[in-house]
Amino acid sequence: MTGPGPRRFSRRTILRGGILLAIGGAASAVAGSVSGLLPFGRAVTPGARLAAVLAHRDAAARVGRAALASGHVERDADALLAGLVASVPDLDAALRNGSDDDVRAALDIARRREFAAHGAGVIRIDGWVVARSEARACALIALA
Amino acid sequence: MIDDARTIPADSDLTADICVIGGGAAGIAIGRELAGSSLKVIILESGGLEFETAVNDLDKGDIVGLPYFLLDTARLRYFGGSSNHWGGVCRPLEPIDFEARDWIPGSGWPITRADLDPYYPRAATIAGLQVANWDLARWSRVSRYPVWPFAPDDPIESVVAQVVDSDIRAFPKRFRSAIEAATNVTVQLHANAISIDTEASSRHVERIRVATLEGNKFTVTARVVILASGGLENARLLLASDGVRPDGVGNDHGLVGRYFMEHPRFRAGMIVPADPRLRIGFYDFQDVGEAILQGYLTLTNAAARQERLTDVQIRLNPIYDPAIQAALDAPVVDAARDLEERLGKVSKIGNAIGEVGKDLTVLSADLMSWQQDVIAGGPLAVPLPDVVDEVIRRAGTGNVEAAMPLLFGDLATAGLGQLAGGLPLDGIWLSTRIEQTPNPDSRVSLTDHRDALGMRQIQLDWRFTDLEKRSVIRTLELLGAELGRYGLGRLRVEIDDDPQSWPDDLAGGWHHMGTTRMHDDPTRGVVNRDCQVHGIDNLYIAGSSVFTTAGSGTPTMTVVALALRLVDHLREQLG
Repeated sequence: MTGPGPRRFSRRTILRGGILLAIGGAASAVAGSVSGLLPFGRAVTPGARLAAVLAHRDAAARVGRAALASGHVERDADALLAGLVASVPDLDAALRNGSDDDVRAALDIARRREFAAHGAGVIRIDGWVVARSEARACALIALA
Repeated sequence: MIDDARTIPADSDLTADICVIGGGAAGIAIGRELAGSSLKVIILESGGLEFETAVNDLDKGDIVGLPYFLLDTARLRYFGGSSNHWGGVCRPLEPIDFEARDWIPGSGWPITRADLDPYYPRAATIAGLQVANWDLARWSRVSRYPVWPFAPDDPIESVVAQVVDSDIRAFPKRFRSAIEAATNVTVQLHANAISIDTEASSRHVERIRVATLEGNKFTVTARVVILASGGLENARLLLASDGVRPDGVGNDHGLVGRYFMEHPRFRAGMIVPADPRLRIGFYDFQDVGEAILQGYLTLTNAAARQERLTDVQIRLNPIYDPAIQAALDAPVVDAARDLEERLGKVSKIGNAIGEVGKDLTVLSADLMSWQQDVIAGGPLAVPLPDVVDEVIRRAGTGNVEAAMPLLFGDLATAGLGQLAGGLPLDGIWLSTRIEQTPNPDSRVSLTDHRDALGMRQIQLDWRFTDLEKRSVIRTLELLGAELGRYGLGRLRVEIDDDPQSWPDDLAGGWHHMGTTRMHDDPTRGVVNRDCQVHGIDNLYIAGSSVFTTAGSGTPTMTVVALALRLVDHLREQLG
């Protein structure tokens, strides 16, 4: 792991972007919902879908930019999505055919699992201790 | 008896069965234990009954290596020693602290926690505690604050320390009269041991040479000498006693003064709680009637073994929104806190009155949103003294309910809300206290500068290994992961990974340990398991200088426990 380096985002950002991203569910005041479940490659990218599902997308994007700069996550959208789908069971299906709650639940389960393992799934971004899956999700939003 | 060495004729030779050098926590504990026995005891105390600048100046010395407190501020030279500025935090060392851990070089005491278990309850009493118990479940039941919900197999756990009431922390406050009344124990004030003189073989202490700042010098001859001057002065006197061996007494293997350990502390991170009403009251000082508690977070033993880390304490400190903090800093809130304190003191008189505090806590939580509005809208109102008096008066008659409306009209509940950990948190900053790794290069040595008595002064070279920094960071990562997992919040590590760089606020805990470490092998320790200096048949050491490793907890109670154990040993030896 690397050190914190210069501060790139505030604790408000991590609160709104990181925590609410991860907490999901009813506790998260979802800013918007997806109006249609369009397949990827047409109108909605995975990042855009994630951004639509999650509250405080601007904050999440800032976390994502820091994650990209840290080198702890893949740098392009395809690789990020591949890494995310590989590490988050049910996310692919949730993004393609599930509800917003399904997407959040898949991320939430992955986050908890990564945190519980205390292993490579836990990284530090700008000093903040985050799950790699949520860092990838934020990075996708940043690239969307 | 308490006497003053300035009145002793020059060149006198005092005799005793036991001479204790140092009238601090260890020395007083030993004197108290031996009071009334058949053994004649002399305690040599450098200072008087109160602080004296000229005496304390004898502690001056140089700092090299990591920054540290000025040495004449890090200790106190008068009867009671550093117990006179003791923080009062007590918790026994953990069993793991005594173990040899292959990832911590130099770890492994020759004794176990079980060897001290018979002494800790008495040590707790001597330290000033009412209950010798540190069981989290026991104390969480009587606390009004929740313990953070970690599971038994999580790497982080909550633990609880007890804090001695500030009114009785200084040992002389409780033991001076007993020492004065003891006909077989004499404290010689203003008596500075300046040399431990051994026979030519250096295997037996012949006498202690003593000097006062007023100029008279005398000697003490004793069957047994106990060095109990603290972790810096114990090493200093041994090194300075170079009349027979140039490297000093007990220093055949060059270990005296090495392995200096502290409990490094600094701000290392912060938490943003998911819910600003996350309660951290359990992790602050709290009076539960029979004890004052302070909780903190630490690694579990299993995690420490798995991760191969030293122990790290994490203490939680609230960060409030600036508007709230400004309100809390206002004098009016001090008045609210005074109310809580007064109720707390009253509660010691009767349980019924004590319920007032709990009721107020519940009320303050219920009124939280109202408080927020008030705080956001301007300064808090003053809890009028007559209202406070009325509350206490009515509570004293059992009419608690009648007292409550008075407080609704008053804003004291805002202060109580903060005391209950109920005010919304903007964040929590994390202070850490680390178990320092034994390091032979972290050491006390002597300079060529001399004090007013002609003794060479100390040079302290405080150093760490790479393990301390790694332990802090990894512990915070584990805590951060647990917080994220449970949805409690998120943690930011605020220190860098460079094992050689340390935050500007790096400090110690005024705990001086390890400089005459305990080990059964004379090539690896200065004293053996009985605290006897290797190779010298009548010289013993009491105090934290004998600690082989330091744990992360405060040392005072263990110092006392070791002193009591030493007394038992000497009773067997001396009959």
